[in-house]
Amino acid sequence: MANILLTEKCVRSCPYCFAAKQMHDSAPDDVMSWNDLIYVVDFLADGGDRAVSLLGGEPFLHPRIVDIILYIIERGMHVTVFTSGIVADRQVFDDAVELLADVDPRDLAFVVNYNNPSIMSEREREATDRFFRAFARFTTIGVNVYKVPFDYSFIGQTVLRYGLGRSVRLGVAHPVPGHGGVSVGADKMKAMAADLDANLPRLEAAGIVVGMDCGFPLCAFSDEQLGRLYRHTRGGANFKCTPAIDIGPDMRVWPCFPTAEYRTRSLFDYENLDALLEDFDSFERSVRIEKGGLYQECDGCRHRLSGLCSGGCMAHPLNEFINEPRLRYDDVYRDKEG
Amino acid sequence: MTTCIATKRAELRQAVVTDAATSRLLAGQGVSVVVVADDVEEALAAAASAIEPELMTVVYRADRAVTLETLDERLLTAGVNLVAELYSMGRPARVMKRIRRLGEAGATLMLSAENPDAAEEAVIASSLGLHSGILLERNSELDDSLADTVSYQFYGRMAHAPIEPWATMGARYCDDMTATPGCGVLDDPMLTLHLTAGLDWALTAEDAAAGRYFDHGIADLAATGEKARRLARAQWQELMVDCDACTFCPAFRVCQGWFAGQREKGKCRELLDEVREAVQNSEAGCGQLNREEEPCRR
Repeated sequence: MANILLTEKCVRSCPYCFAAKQMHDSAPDDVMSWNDLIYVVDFLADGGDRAVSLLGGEPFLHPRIVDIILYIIERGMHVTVFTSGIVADRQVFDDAVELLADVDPRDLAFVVNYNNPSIMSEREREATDRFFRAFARFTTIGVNVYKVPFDYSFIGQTVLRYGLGRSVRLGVAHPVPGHGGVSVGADKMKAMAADLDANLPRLEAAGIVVGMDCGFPLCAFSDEQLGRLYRHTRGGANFKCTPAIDIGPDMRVWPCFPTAEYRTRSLFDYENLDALLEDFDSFERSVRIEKGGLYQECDGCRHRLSGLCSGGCMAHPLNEFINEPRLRYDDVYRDKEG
Repeated sequence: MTTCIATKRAELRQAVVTDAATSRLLAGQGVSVVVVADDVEEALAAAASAIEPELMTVVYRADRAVTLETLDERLLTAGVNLVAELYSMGRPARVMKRIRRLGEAGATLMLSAENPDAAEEAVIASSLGLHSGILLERNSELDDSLADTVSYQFYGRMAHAPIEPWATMGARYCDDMTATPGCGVLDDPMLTLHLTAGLDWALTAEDAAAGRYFDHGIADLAATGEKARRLARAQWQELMVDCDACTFCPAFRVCQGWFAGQREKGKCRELLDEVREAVQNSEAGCGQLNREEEPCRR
């Protein structure tokens, strides 16, 4: 499923944000145009995609977002909007309440990237409160684990208070190669896994199921922890990291935010979705050939070779290559030669 | 073949623009008629009076305030081909379902070239299955956004409804190797003729208003049609004979001097050359025909 970035502007500045570099570099007036949006939808539909995600920055900063959501649904695709839940423009919010009222929740989902309310400002809390109350029937929350130990207690409280969907999309913060940012390092992954394992009963008590975002390494979990995690996720535990497709408002496209500086092209460079995916896959292979994953053991790991685990997020090895002598395949460097 | 106005290959190849009462005199001859109405009741009355509704197109020229959201529902079930000429289709979020309905009803949406968002709206409507277009006049400002509608019409990768006037120009060019952008405003004598209540024939609405007629009566429609085609051809051939500046334009075959009044600006040349190239090369234009004509390489 592709991610369409309606704008790269955002209303927040989360410490772990993996898109910070992109947002910093974006033009102040960057919003995706209708013509480009229709090109993207046609491109994806032609490739067989029947679902898209709308991202930012903050996608609700696009003044036509409500029209865009309804348009994509009308084109027969499922829409997932990743948002902070902070809709700064009152008119856009009111439009969304009115015009999305008749939308079937099977066609639309909001994933609110949610931080612990204790570190939010009062205005942030008010804005997300307003969003949850208006759109609970479409909404689940997404949480980024960016430190260990992590406070999971607010997840259940939030879901139950607003009657949100009983799942949480759990991500682990990875580095943005060469730009630092707050993330969970390779040496902290086992502690992160133990912390998550310890918090599963609390989530289960609230009837909440964890959905794992990309980049969790399998070996961070012991066999006992894995057993509990598989049972909790009903077999859906995910240890993969495969290229996504992020399409920017200016029609640049890259595999995912941490790799944006390595493989960015124009969408117009690709004849079709298959050609794009092949290119991104070849980039991932280039990285994984140089270093299989977070740990040296990943190179020969049977779980990685069998496809059960990807070896964690690609951002970790890319981040290491930056400080090494330049001896590797040229593709894995940001400032490629030639 | 797509056309602005549905035509049938009858004795008269062109569609006839006339009033509702006169259109009844043409019944039984397989002629496509076009009735232009400025208000809803007039449009509905024309539709109700049709003897052969499947051959009648009602062009409803709405007030500037009318959008697809406020378009009278009765027009969708009037039983004739509907062309709604609007300034703007309205806000996409509010008219999405209407677009689908009109598309399913086989209607056409033509948007004013004065609307700065017309090109954007036409592409949205087309992508959702509604035959749409821009009402280009001879003196219309040729905005850069029009090129987007040309691209979408000829190079769009997914199936979509035609966008006028490019779709009709493409179809006509593949048949005749010539075209003009006039079909959307009923100003192309190869496609539409104008018949008065007095049964006088004019090549264009402007000619009809000025009393410049080229024929009279409805006894021999085939001859009238052919005469009109001959005159239309002669008009652009005269440009060649006179060595008019337009005849040196690479886009001449898809314009034939239609935009001559604004050629000094250079925009018409730029836009229509793009149309010519797209028509000749794209799959949605004559590209498929060209490919079929290639010798077999196996």
